[in-house]
Amino acid sequence: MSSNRTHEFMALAQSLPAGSPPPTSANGKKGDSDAYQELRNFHTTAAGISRDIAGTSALLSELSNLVRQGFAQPQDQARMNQLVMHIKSQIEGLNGRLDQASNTMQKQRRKVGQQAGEEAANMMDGLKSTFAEAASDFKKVLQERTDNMKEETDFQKQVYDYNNADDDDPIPNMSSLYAPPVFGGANSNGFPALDLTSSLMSPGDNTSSLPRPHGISSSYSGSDIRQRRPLEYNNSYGSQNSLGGSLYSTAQPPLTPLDIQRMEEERGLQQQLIPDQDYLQQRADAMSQVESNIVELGTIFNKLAVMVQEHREMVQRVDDNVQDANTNINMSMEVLTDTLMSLRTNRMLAFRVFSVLVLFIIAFIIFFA
Amino acid sequence: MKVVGLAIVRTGSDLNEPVPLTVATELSSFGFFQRQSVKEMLMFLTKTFMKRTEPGQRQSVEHEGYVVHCYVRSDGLGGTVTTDGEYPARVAFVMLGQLLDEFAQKQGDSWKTVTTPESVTFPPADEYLQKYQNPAEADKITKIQKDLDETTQILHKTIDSVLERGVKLDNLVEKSNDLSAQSKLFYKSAKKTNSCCVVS
Repeated sequence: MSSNRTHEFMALAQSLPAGSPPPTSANGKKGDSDAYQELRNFHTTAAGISRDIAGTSALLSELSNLVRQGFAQPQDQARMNQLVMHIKSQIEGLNGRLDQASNTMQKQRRKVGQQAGEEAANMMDGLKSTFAEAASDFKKVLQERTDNMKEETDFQKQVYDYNNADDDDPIPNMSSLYAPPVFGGANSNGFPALDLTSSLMSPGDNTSSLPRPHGISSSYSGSDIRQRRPLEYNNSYGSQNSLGGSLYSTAQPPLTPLDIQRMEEERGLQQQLIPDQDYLQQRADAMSQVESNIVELGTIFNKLAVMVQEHREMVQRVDDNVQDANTNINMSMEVLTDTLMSLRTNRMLAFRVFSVLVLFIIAFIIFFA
Repeated sequence: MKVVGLAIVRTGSDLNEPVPLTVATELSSFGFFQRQSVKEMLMFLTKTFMKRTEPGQRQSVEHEGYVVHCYVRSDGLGGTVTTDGEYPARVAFVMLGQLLDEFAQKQGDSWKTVTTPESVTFPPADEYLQKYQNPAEADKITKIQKDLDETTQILHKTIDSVLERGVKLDNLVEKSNDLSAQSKLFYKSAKKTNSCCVVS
């Protein structure tokens, strides 16, 4: 839909003299010109809408080109995300304006001439059909993109070899499904950048840090904490509860952009997530602090064990030395007792000798007397 | 660190003002004559902030040194907790979540049609208020953190004493070395005394 000349035609139709009398209304002539004024406004808005639809389709064609390239580069991914956001917002805006325009058109249709009314209605229909076409094209492109990304993740899964493949696989993607995908700062349009790739991070990335809300720094570990995360998010984002429930049951990795789009179409969701980021960030911080404390404790225990191990040698040396000392002293005690015994015995010997001598002297005296 | 007030509020598109269902306050830190005005201020703040909070959203707003943490669930039931500046926001939201869950469980769906303010009596609200005055007791994460800090401290002391033990063991090694050397000498001299000459 590149050139919509309906506007020109409408202007032309209006420039016709008031030969076609408008149907009588209670307001009279003044009311009629007001009605025509409103009709002119309506046409201007319709022109604006059609211009925007043209712009949107241009963006859409760029997006489809990027998608059709296949496995895209990161900057292409970023550009694609940007485009998706832009197009989506434009589509929403256009939707609103179209509804508004059709409402006003319905209201004015009675006041304005039958021909002009019919023209306006036809124009409305034309705009709506073009818009519907653009929206369906957009959806098709998104679907194609999802398929591409799915292929990519399958490929990645085959490449990476990780041990607990069975329970890890659905759950990281589950937690990423629940994780609000809009973090990661704003891009140039002022919208939070849709970080679709972070939801598809390889589950084999086992670092020791905890899962965080996306965009802060996402990495996975600890299946308990991972399993708790979907529940936490389930409570936080109540509006996604039904969707989350269905996602759980069908167990579809990876998160399709369509799902994200659907989730974000809930009113004001984008604004909600950003204030919540504080709370979640606090929780993440608390958990990481607890984790680091526990790790620190672990190292301290290790050091303790090493030190005690060193002491074991020293204690053994002390034991040996004391044992030696004990032996020495025992032996010397033996020697000293021998000495003592010998000392004592020596006296005995002397005593015996002396007694023999005395006896001999007595015998000698008896012999002489 | 204290919690001043707590309110469970019903919001909905059919109401132009959120309706407080239950209110609990702990105003002992204010003078007796100030309490009424403080309570009114709390209600006013609650209503204002709840109006601005979307379902499924949490917010913390600071006002004159006190922080009001608001949380609205997706089904329209919401609550606010007014605390002083030091109280950790995370604990406040945990408390809110638990309180709202219990409220919804006990009241079933009857709260959805209430339009008169402060009409629902819910005694656990007061209990929660009292319990959460000390966040370290009520919030598990805070408790764990505190225990971990204590444990770390104790472990540091343990490591210090183990180092001391090492030094003492070193002393012991030296001393026992000396002892065994001395006893050897003693033995030798004893043997010398014994064997060489016979003392009479």
